[in-house]
Amino acid sequence: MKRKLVVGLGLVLFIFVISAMVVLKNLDNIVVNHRLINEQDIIIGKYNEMLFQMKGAQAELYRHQAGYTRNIDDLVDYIAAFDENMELLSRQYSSHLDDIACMQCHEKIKERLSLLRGIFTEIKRQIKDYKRDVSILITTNDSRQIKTLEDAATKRGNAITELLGTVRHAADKMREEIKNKRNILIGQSRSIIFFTISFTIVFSIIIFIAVIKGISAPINSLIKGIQRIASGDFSHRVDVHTKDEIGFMAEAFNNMVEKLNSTMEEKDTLLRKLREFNEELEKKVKDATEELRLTHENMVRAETLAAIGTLSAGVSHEISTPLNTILGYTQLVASELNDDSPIKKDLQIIEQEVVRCKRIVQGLLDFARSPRYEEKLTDMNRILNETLTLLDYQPSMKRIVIKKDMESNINQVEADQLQLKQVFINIILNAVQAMPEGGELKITTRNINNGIEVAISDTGIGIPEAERKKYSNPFTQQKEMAQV
Amino acid sequence: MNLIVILTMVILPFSLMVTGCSERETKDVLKNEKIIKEGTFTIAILPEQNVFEQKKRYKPLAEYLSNALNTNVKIKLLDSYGTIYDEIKNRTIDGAFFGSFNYVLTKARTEIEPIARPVETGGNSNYKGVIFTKKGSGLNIDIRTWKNKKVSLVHEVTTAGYIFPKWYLKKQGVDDFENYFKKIIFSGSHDAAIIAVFNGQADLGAAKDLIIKKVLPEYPAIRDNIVVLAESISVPSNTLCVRGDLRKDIKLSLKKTLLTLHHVAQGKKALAALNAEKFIETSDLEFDKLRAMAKVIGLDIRRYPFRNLR
Repeated sequence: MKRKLVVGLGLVLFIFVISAMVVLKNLDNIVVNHRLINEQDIIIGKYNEMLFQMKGAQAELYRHQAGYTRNIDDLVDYIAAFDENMELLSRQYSSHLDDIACMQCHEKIKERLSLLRGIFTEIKRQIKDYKRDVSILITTNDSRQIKTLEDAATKRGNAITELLGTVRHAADKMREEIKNKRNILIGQSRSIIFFTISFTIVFSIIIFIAVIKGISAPINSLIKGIQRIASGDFSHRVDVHTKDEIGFMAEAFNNMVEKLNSTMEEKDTLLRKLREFNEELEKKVKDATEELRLTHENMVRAETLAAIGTLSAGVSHEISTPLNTILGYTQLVASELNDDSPIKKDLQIIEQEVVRCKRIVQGLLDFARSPRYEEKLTDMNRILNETLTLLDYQPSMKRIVIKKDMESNINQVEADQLQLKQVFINIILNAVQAMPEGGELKITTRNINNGIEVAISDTGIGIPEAERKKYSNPFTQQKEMAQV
Repeated sequence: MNLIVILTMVILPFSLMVTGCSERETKDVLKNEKIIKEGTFTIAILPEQNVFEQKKRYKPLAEYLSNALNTNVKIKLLDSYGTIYDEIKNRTIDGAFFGSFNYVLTKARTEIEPIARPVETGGNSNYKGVIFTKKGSGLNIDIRTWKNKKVSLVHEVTTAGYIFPKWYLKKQGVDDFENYFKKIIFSGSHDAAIIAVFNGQADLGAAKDLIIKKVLPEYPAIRDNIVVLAESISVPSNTLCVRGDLRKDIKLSLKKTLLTLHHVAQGKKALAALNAEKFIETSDLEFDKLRAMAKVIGLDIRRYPFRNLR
């Protein structure tokens, strides 16, 4: 802005200076011409003086020669004044002739001045002779010489007067020419001054408008930009490309908006992430809540199971006594019967079933016993067989074909047998539930290194990958697992 | 009673006479004072050369003296050597640069006092009269060759332009000077006398050597062709003399100013215009040899006319 103002002012100033120079130049020309006219007036005045002096000298000479006066001072003073004027005019013209600048523009004047110089030389020669003749004339006593000198002085005086008349006429003419030229120049100067002033005013107005526009346009653009950005349009940029304070301000403003925009984007990103995080957190809370609920349910179930276990233990304990009684009496009765007695065979069946019941009851008792971790060398084949026996009574097991592929000489491993059984029960029940229409359950054991490997597979619908991690959950319902 | 009448008759005329003298002296003083009071001191210049040049030469001196004496010093050109006595006598001038013979004549008839004269550049304060001709004129130092020739002289009251040639011929045995020549032209000034010879108006001429020297640069034809036939003794050149009746202090002041002119810058300019180095004091005795010359030619300086014919 400052630069524009400076440039604008500079231009206006420049125009004014140029205008002033043009005007001054014209004024100078007018003044020079005026001075030349004055000079010419002085020169003409000098010629008139010289004519008067010459005529005065002639008159004094006649008076002296006629005997009216013996005074020659006036005569001499006239000629001395004439000489002074002559010298002054010679210097004047010589200075013009020596003025190269003058001569370059006024070639014709040079010719005139040269002509004048020639006439001046002639006047000087004549006046010199005139003075010589007059000096002798006024002092001599020789009458014949007096006559000759009087004639000569008269002739020379007339010649000088005539020459002066010539140069005065030339000076008059020159004065008129200069005057005419001055008048033309005044007219021209007036036009130039008028044109220059008009041009200066118009140009100044144009520059003023340009400067105002140059200043206001970027400011308006800046204001509009600020308003748009204030209204929330951070993508907007101020369109100012001037290299001044406003341009600098606009650029700074755009940079500020750019940074503000980046900050806003970062804020949005953070908000989005926060929202996602919240959603995830909500989901996790929900999952956790669900897990908590399931855990709670499992706990309730566990407690229920524990109660059932306790109840089962009690029931089993209560049942095992009559079963023992039944078994004792059955064996007693059987021992008392003959081998071929048909009842003995039935008794044997009763005995078998009672033993079987006892085994179930014992199994229930074992299962219902409070879990207490107890590792001991375990035959995994036996644990698996006992588990199958425990589940054998389940109706769903009826449609399942169990295939066993067990290592005959399986390694003994340290393990909690009860918990292993619980694990195997769960797995097998899940497998059975995964095969509602029946299928094949295959149990494989193998020795590996210092341990063993147990593999249980079914031909059911399988477990989705996402749900497999739930497999280890002790409270996941078997049915759910099967459905999964 | 008779005694009283006698005494009265004796004393009264005497008293009147004394009173009359006092009045005249008072008038003279008043007149002198009037000159000073009017502020004009007029010095006449003889036309020894071109009158226009003469005025030009003496103008700076007049200006200087005007300032130095606090008065208006005016230069008055005379058209003839013969008028100077009348000007002094009529008190129309206060002083003049006198030619040597003019001084002798004027001094013989009225009271004038020599003040000072210029020393020309080169140290010469005197001049000689010279009789000359131009080459090829057939004239030589033998005055017989001069007989019946036209001679150009200056004026009858000039040493170089009249007295010396007359004295010279007298010394050569010619008594009738005026008739020895076919024609005597009195040109009125020294340079005019010289020019007359070289213009063919005269066969020989007589003039001041100082003027001849001044004229030579202007006229190469004269410079290359002049032949000097005779020279006079040296006599004092133009001497400024003032009227004897001027106040003594004015004379002293004028003399002092002139004698110290060469010590002052403006004075030097005035001297330069006169082609002089300085002014020196001049005494009446220096003109005695000229008086002797006049005596030789039988000239009575008390009666000799100034021939102020014009």
